[in-house]
Amino acid sequence: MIGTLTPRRAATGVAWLGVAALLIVLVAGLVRQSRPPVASIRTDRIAPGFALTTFDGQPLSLASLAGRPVVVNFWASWCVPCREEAPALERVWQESRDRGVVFVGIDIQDTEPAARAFLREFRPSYPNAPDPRGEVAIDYGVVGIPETFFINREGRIIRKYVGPLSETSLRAFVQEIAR
Amino acid sequence: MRSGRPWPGRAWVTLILLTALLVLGLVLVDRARADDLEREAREIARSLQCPVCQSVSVADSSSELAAQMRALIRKKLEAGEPREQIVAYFVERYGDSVLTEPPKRGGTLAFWLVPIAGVLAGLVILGALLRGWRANPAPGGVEPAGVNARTAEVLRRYEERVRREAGGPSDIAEKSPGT
Amino acid sequence: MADLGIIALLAALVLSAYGAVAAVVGHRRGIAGLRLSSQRAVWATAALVTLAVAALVYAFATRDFSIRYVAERSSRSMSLPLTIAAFYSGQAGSLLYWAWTLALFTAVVIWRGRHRLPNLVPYVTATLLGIQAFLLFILGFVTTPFEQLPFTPADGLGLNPLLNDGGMLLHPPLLLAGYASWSIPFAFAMAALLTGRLDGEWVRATRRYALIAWMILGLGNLVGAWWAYHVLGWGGYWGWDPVENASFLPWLTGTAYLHSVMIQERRGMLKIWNLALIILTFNLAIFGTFIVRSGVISSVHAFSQSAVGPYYLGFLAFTLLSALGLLTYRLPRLRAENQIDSFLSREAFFLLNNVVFLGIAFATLWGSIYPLISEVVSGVKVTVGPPYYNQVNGPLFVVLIALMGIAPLTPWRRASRARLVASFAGPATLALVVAVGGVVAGLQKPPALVGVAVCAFVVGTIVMEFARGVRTRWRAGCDLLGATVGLVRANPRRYGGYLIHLGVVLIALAVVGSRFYQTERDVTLAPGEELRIGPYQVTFLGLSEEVVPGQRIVVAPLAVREGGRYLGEVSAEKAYHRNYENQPSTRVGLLSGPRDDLYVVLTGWDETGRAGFVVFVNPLVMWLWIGGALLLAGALVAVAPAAWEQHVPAARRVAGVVRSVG
Repeated sequence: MIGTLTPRRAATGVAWLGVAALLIVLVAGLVRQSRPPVASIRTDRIAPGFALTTFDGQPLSLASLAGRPVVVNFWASWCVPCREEAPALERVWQESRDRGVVFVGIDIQDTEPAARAFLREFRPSYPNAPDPRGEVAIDYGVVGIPETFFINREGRIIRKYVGPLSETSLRAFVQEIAR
Repeated sequence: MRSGRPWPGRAWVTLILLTALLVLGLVLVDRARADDLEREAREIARSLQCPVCQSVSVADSSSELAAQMRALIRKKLEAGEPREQIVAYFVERYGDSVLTEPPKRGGTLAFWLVPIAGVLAGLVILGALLRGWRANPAPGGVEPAGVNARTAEVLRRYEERVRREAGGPSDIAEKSPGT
Repeated sequence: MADLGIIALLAALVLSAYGAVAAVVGHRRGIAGLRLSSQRAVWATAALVTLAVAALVYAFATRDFSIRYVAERSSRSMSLPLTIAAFYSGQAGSLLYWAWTLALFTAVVIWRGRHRLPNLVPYVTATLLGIQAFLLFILGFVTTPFEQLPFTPADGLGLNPLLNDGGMLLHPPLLLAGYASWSIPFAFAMAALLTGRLDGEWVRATRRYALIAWMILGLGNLVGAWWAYHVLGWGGYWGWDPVENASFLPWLTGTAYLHSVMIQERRGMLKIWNLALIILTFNLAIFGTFIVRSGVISSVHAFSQSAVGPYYLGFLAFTLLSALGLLTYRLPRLRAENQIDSFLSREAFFLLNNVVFLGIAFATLWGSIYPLISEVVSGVKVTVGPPYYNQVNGPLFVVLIALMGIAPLTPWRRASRARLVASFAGPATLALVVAVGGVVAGLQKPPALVGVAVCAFVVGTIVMEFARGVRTRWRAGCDLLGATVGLVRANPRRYGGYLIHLGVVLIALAVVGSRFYQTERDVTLAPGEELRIGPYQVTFLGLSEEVVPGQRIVVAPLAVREGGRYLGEVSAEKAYHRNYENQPSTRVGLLSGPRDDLYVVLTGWDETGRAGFVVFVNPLVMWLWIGGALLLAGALVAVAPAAWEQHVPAARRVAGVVRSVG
């Protein structure tokens, strides 16, 4: 009897395999869950252009910054981590502006009064502009806030960072694009 | 047997059914005419997953990003962009996972084939089983030797009788010359 | 209260573990006292778990915020019914509720079977108390609803706004009880496997329990759909979300079981298959709870990821593997008593029905866990949304509904072609007429057309069956009502089944209508401005704000007219709940009718008083709920004892019925 493959045996075998596979996948799912999400992703694509008007009424476009390394930071006034990283952004910008690095803040999913209050509170000296229809954010594929993109002199996005940036990592990432 | 009161049923049963279904048809037809652009926009939004939500499409999400995406879809449609191009735009930004259905090509083609293969396998197994059963007639199988053979048997006779009286078809009735 | 609750839980844990062992040992060794003692352990467990539930409900009702669970899910401003319902709103409470329903079901089942099924009951007791012990262990040591806070807050946080709704009173308790109730047939199946009493005994003993479990679970799903429709505000009732799928899966396999078990009762076939289906159904119920509570799969319902996940997975693995092992072990002894006679027989169609049900279940499970598989195996994120399920399951459902018309009219064992043609000529003609009529009238969508035609076919067969039975009795001199009632009473299972099928057809029609013919507008209206959608003219009347305890509600009333006739006012609202200000809940403005629903969602507003709306016209949705009611009615009829089943000796009774008919 042993060794002959009856439909019954085949069906039993399939049932065991199916159950084993399901359980393995679920175990893997549980294990994977406890890993933190990756915050920093290396990418390499041409940065989408944008043309906005800053809160001060100045035009701001990526095209006008061609040839310079650019840090694009998406933020919103209601976003708590954005408050955390705001001082770091300002400080690193002050350090690196002499090397030609440009910082751009883009405010998304916000109301204007709240955004202006945020700017009054943190006083960033780099240009900040609202993106009222969210089109720039969608063009960049922004999902969470804050999200920061590092664009090199050739206009390529080299790195994307999700979540609040610390001063150290921000400095390191700016180093990458300022080379 | 067929004597007794005349049965009024058939005519009005048919009438009621047809009326009900006619009404249904008219109800549905009325809906079929909708603004083309509006419908196209909705269909595109339905095919996209809201990137900041848990399993809700862009069409159904109440999040601000989804609202902005819907507005962008409409804007692109008004600008004359074809549907494929709009969907491709979002896929390029958010990856394949922005689609509510995995693409039927490349790696995810297998995903689509698995359930179809599963159903087909089920049918094949069923066919093989039925054929096998018919090829080897029951070992000791007389009449229903099943669990509640007695009640089943009694019930069967009763049903048979009712059937016969009802003039409805019954395999026993067909064979027995008495009717 | 907290101490009382925890003591009751721990005592119940000890007792259920003891009872499980005592039942088996008492049976094996033939110690009557021990067997009796195990039954008493069942009653005591039920009493103690009830006590724990009472303690928690009391804590909620008296707003005892010293208990963390109470403080985190209720507040003084909540109404009393909702406050009490909050008891199953979280992980620990819902588990306690699960355990409670299980304990009550167990007590009823053991009480009813203690004399009639002396050989099965010990193992049924052991299985059910084993499951109970697992739940009580989790409740006692992993996540307990009775954990106390170091200080007593003045007020609680209140309920998550999404749950702050009337649906909360019905959907979770039904769904959880539905899950729990599948333990009963499962326990009997396990008892059959453990004792080797593999004939139809366990099937007969669980027929009604399985039907009731099926009914509760189905109702839980339907109420969930109703709730989603009223609260989530996206114009739909079913989103193929992984958690919805998880609650749908045991219902699918359970429905397959209810059909295939008839073949075993009738013909003594499919014994393995039925055991496998029950094992699968129970484990899918556990899987459903696991998915909700572990956060393994992302879903709108995955409330929190927690420590319970690994325990649940361990339990799932244990029940699945041990049941499968037992089944494999008993395989040689499971032999069919009969064979299939013909492809054209009810058996064959029922088997086909099983393949389709299992196909749908498999496709649904596959779609739900594929994102997980993809991420684990290749690290690629994918989304599987409604389009997948509609494309794969849609056609399968059409086949299923067609079978619903075909199978019940096909005789057992063997059917002649001529007879099938005779049976189906009428309904098939009806379907054809409807299809042609649809095309002529301008129904352009092929899937909708096919769906409606198949539904017409099934309605035709059901009406024919009823008409035939009623006619016989009518000829015999009953009046129409008496004839119908008598017919149903003579064979409630069969005609209850037809009612259920009719309910399913109504649901299918509602799905076709709302899925293929929904209209939607995304608009911004100034006060006094009018929107035309479908047959309706909707006028926005201006925003106002209401404050009730615990909530601030923005109300947008709209006047609805159809062709100049005033139909009434609907009010689309957004409610901001205290402590949850950033998650406003939607209250849909709904004007429901048999033809269609006008469904208005308030999305936003600005300082000038203009407001944004999404307005839907959803055809036929009301028939979904009517179909659901019919489903419930049919299930209740099918559970009722047949006239011939009552305590008069069966043969005499049937003879009597036949005489009264003839």
